[in-house]
Order: sequence, then structure tokens, then C-alpha cells
Amino acid sequence: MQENNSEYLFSSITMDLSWNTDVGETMAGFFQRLKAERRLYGTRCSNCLRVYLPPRPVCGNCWQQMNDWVELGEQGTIVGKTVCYYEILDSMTGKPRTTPFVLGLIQIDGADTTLNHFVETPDPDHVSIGDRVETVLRDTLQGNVGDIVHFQWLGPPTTSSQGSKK
Amino acid sequence: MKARPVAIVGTGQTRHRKARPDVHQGEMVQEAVNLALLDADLSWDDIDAIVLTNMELFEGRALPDLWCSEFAGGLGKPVMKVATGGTSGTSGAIAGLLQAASGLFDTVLVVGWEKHSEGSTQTGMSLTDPAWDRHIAAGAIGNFALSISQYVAERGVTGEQAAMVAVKARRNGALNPNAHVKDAGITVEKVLASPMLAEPVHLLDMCPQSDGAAALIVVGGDKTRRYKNPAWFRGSATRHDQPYIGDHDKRMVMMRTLRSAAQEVYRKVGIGDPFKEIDIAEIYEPVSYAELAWYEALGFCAEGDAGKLIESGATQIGGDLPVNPSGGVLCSNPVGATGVIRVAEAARQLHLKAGDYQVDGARRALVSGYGVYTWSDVLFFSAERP
Ligand SMILES: [Zn+2]
Repeated sequence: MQENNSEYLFSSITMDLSWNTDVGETMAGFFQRLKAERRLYGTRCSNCLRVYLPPRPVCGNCWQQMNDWVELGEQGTIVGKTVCYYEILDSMTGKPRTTPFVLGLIQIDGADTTLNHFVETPDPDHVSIGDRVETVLRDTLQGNVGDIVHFQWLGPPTTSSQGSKK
Repeated sequence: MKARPVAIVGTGQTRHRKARPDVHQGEMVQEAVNLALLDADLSWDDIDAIVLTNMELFEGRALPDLWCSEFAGGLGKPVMKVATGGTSGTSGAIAGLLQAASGLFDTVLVVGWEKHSEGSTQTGMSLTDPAWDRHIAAGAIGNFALSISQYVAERGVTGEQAAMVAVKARRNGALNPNAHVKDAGITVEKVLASPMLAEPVHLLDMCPQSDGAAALIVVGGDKTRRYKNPAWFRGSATRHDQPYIGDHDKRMVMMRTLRSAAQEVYRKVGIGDPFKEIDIAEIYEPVSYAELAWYEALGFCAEGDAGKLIESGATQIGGDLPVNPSGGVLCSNPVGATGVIRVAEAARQLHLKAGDYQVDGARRALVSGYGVYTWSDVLFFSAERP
């Protein structure tokens, strides 16, 4: 290993490539329902009753085909959170996101799994586990995951905003 | 079918660094392979089969198995590549060990590598499910921090306790010439004063991204006889779990892949009290907090006692159960090689060749691999022939 030689050559390449990924029957069902009703839907396992969001064709825990669609709430609860200070690129635009931003693990009312997503809030330092959030969809839905813009922070739970506990 | 005893008899590693602009991937692979052959006192002709481990998405070059096999000495030999995420290296090691144990091959070479300096790690990490994950990809650090927030809420571990893991790692790394990050003078205060990346994770809580390669030589049958201190393979287990990170309830607390793989290995090799019966562990800790969570998942302490365990000093070199005496992933992380390094470091302890970080009386070594929460590998080695 030659640690002192700074004259190494390298080949620099930037690629612009495209792919078209088939999202599958179940995810298509989710996006179609989202677009038609502005509602999130999950799939429920008839064996363990676990409700999956994102919806899946199969419950991995039971290896069970899931055919039941369940309408989910518009709000959810933060079950994990962090305030990010490092610069990251938005995967969809390639542009840096402004910091700090809040990431949350969000359990939508009626779902058993959680989503990791961006939490929009005026005060990142006051977001806590247990706080409530509301789903914000874009105005004109396109039928893809970009339709969920972020989750708006609502604050600590009150009796009126408390989700139905299963 | 009864598997025959096999052992690791040679290891080789590059000096893991932030960047190795002096070599390309294949040259780096060859460096590690030559060192492993030298360590095992074998030549190219002795190798019957080769297992490669690499995650090409970080370098953006397809089919690394095609163009790097030559540098591993693959011409005319069976070569395959194993990739299971962060677990790639441990999964590749398991594959090589089982190939030899099956009797198919007497001498198997396992080599893993990564050259993070060639690409953008975040780009690689963002190439997840395009229908769902990619839109919200925020890099590994944010995802770690989300899980850590749940672990902290559940167990009450403190930033100081996590920083003690980072301090232990970098001080151990200072004893290891191959380690990328070394800092003999690091303190808890310095970790806590380092920039906050994603609450509560500071810069010095995180693993680096490294360039590096690591190789193992596995032998079975009569070939084991000439070696004085082989690292005997006693058992392994692999677990897969559901793919979306939100599928796992309190994933860092539960860590069901690692928990379940460890239980299977302990049952197979007859370990009742891991803390007492294991002499040294090389575990895959991508972030300081994860090491604490893995102490619990691996049964090194009671649930919720990981903070006390790190405070006790028992996991330092000289303690009852040194964890990552090599400095671990917090000091060197060329991802495709990282799991191979864990196995190599465990083997080096049993070979009594770990130099300044040799653990006295190391006879039983545990290894774990981590592929996000969806893959775990656990391997167990001993100085005693099975
Ligand atoms: Zn189920």
C-alpha cells in the first residue's frame, strides 16, 4: 500500500438510467384505492389478524395469503422519532433536504406495522413518542407513494385525537 | 448427513482505510487473499473452491464475481458469490464452512471486500423498493436513530453508556494495525461533543465507510492436521425476517433474527450461559447503541441490563467477555468484507495471533452478522476440536 502517492488515476462516471418497476397486484390495489378515495388501506392476515401498511399479498409471519382490505385512519401515533441534522439528498429529486428535519416511525390508526416518514412540525425539539400526526396527501393524486407528502405533527394525544386501540 | 469437522486456519486483511486510491477492487481482493494464503502456509493450487462476498451497489459495477474472481485465484475453480446485505460476509463464511464440512471440498477460500470510496453509500442505500421505500429514503443514520429512539424509550440507556461503546471500540482499534478508525485518547466527553447526526446519534457513535478486503481459509479432513491452533467451526444459524423496516415491532429492542439465531447456536453447541461460557465475541455493531441492544439479544446480560454491562467494563479487553477487541465495525466497515472481518478476528483470537489485542485464554469465540433487521448470522468457533 503506497500511502503517500497522491497521483492515482480514477475514472469518473455519471449515469442517467431509467427503470420501470412493476409494483404488483397488492400495491396497485393500495394506490388505486388511495387515488379514488384519498384513504390509506392495509391488508389483514386472516390467521394472526395483523394489519399491514404498506399492504402485502402475504403475511410473512404466517405465510398466509391476505385478501382482506382494511380502511385505515387519517391520523396516527409516533412510535419512534429522531431529529436529523446531517445533509441528505432527496431520493426523488437528487436535491439536498434542509436540516434539521424530523423522521418518525408512525403507526396509522388501524395498522399494526409502522411507516418511517417525514414529520412536519414548527418545533422539532418538541416532538415526542406518543404524539399524534395527520396524513398529508398531495392535492392531485398520482397513484404512487409520492402521494403521501409527509405527516403533520398534531401534538400530544387528547381524548378526541386518540386512535382506536385494537 | 453428518458434517465433518472443519476449521479456519488462515486469515488475511488489508489495512482498512477511508480510501485506497492506489488499488482497484481486484487488486485489493488479491492483497487479502495473498495474506490469507501466507498465514495458512498454502498456495493457489491448494484452494478447491472460492466464495466471494461484496455488495456491488456501492461501487456501481455489475458482476463483481465475474471480474474479481481472477484476483482471488478463481481460474478453473468453482466460484460463487453470496450477498445478504450487511450479513454478506458472515453468510459467505457460513457457505464456505459448510462446503468444507459437507466433504465437497477440502480447502475453501472466502473473500469479501468493499470500496465505499468509489461511490455514494447513500445512493446505494437508497436503491430499495422503488414503489415504496425510495421516496422516503433518508439514509441509514436516520433509520438507526428511529430504532434507537424506541430502544432508549424502552430500556432507558443513556448517551453516556452508548458513548462508552464507541470509546471501547476506538481504543481497541488503536491496537489493531488494520483498523480504519483508531483513537487511543478518545473519551466519553469527546463522543458526546462530536456533531449530532440524528438524535441521539453523534458522529462518533457511527461506524465509518471503509475500503478494505478480508479473506479466510477453511480446511476439512486430513488438511487440518498440520495446524497448531485451528479455529474449529462448531455451529451457525441464519435468520431472515420481513423486508420493510416498519414490519418489525420495536425492531432494535426485539431483534428477533439475532435473538433466534443465537438461541439456535447456543442449543447446538450446548451453551447455557453465554456470558460465562464465551471467551470473546466479534459482533456486527453498526452504531454504538446497537452493541448495547445486541448484548441483550445475544443473552450476554438480562434484558435491560446492557447499560450496566458496558459500565462494568466486562466487555473490554481484560474483562470477562471482551466484545470486539479488534475495534469492530465502529473502526472498520468495508460492508462486503465486514462480516468476513468478524469471522477473521474471532479466528485470529483462537489462532493466538491477535497481537496487541489478543485476549488471554481465548478458546471459545462468538461471531454475529447484521443485515439491517432482516438478516442475522451467528457463528461459534472453539479451540477444541468437535
Ligand atoms: Zn399472519
